[in-house]
Amino acid sequence: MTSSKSTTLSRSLDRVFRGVLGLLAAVSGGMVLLIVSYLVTGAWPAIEAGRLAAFFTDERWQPGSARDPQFGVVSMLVGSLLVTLLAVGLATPVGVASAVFHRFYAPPVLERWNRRMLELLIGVPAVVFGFWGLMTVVPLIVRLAPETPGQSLLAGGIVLALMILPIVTLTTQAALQAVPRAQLLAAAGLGLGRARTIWAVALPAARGGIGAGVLLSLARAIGETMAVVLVCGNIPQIPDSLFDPIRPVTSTIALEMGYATASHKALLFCAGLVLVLFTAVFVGWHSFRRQMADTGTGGA
Amino acid sequence: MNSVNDSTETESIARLSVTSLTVRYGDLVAVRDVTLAFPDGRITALVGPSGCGKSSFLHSLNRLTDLIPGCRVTGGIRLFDGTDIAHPRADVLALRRRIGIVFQRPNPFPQSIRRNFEIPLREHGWHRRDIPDKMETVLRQVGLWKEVSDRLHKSAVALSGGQQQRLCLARALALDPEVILFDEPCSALDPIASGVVEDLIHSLRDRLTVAIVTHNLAQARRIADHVAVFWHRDGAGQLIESGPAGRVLAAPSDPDAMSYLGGMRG
Repeated sequence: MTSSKSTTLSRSLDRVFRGVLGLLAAVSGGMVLLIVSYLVTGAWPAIEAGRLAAFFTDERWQPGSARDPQFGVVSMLVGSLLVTLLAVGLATPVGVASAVFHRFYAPPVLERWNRRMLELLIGVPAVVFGFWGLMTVVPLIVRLAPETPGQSLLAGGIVLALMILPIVTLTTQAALQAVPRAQLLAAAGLGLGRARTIWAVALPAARGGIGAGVLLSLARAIGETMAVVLVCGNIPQIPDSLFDPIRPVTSTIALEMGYATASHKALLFCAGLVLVLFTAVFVGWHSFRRQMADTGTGGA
Repeated sequence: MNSVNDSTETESIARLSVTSLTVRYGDLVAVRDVTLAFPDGRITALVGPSGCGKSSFLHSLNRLTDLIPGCRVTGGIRLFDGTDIAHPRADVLALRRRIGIVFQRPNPFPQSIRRNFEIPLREHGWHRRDIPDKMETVLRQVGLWKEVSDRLHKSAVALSGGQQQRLCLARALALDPEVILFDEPCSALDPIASGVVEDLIHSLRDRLTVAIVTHNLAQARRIADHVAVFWHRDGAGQLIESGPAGRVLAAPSDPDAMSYLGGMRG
């Protein structure tokens, strides 16, 4: 009797537990939809007024101008993309090299300390990165190219690269750690040296994980605001060189949202929406490629 | 090289000889004081119950034990030409080319079949243009050429388990080893694939020196020229009996070996 009572109790407990878990899972998944619908609602006035075309056709961004309002966001999108690609381009080789070193060459003590340092680095607030970039990276660039203001695409790329470096390194390290022992044993059994084991066996096996890390850092970099506001110079233009100032989309939103009036505000929402769509495209493209790769290799 | 003199029981010379080999993992002694010779061109089966150190012993023969932190190997391992395998400064990569290994679970690299040959062959100095011929030769040797010749660019892990194991054997053979170690090569395969691989191992006789760890006594009876029986005794794996397969399997002198081989223990 008691046993059957306790099973009923545990069963109903399980049901409650499942309900709570399902609810929490729905919250985290639904949050994305909520944010997107919020953005769409905010952007709707601009979309309704047919401003979206001007978004991509107007040359300049001067939404507040009474005489000649222009809403061209292309220069800022280009700025966002360039600074992100530069950051990822700088951080990926360094991060992967660092992960390979710590996985295959460094003594375990060093590896542990390095990981702790990187985890700390992730925790450094963006504004500190931006401030540090403004005080050290920008003057350095000015010394390198005296005729420029220093606040530039390059400065943004370097600061962002440092911010995403721990993400690339830690995910690569985890991916290398997850390479099956059997693979490394096979490599050793064939008399492969360390360099070839890394290049021909471990890195290809870890490719998926490394790609996910790069994507994660890409999403982080394209959405980063505080640091780029401080070091990029904030001039909405398509840069001619690494030393030109740029103004990424995020900077624009952060700088103008405070004083934007109705239609201007809707445009800023639009810009945010475009940014989210960009990230979605990256993520979608990545998971599509992964799926293709998975089916291509028979699920391995 | 006094190692050659150790192979008193065998009619042919030893390709590989082991003297007083001990393998330790930290404080744990996995294998103690094993002396054994592997006759040239013959198949030597290492049998015994689980946990008696057969695999540890096998892995120490081409220094794969180096990969395990805390593992220490003492004693002598010598190739026929006097190469000291156990020497701390031995060229481990070169000797692993000379002493190949096939593992229990097939472990092709999850890349194309062709890459599975290119990676090791390039490492050991083969020219790119010589690789296709070599690959075809060894794939024919393991009877896989007809099955895969039209999909060499496809992933090796899309093959069946038995095909993968034959690929791994072909990959090991491609490096022209003198000795091949098999670590229970059939135990992860279905009976038919297992039979195919067993026949392949048997076909290597005379051309190569083979050491095979097996739990399958019938298999040892079918293919082995020599049998070495391992046993866990006094807290460590030990060699308790070795000699020609016919004699050891039919009339072992050690009582534990007798009961094990008679199917009464282990």
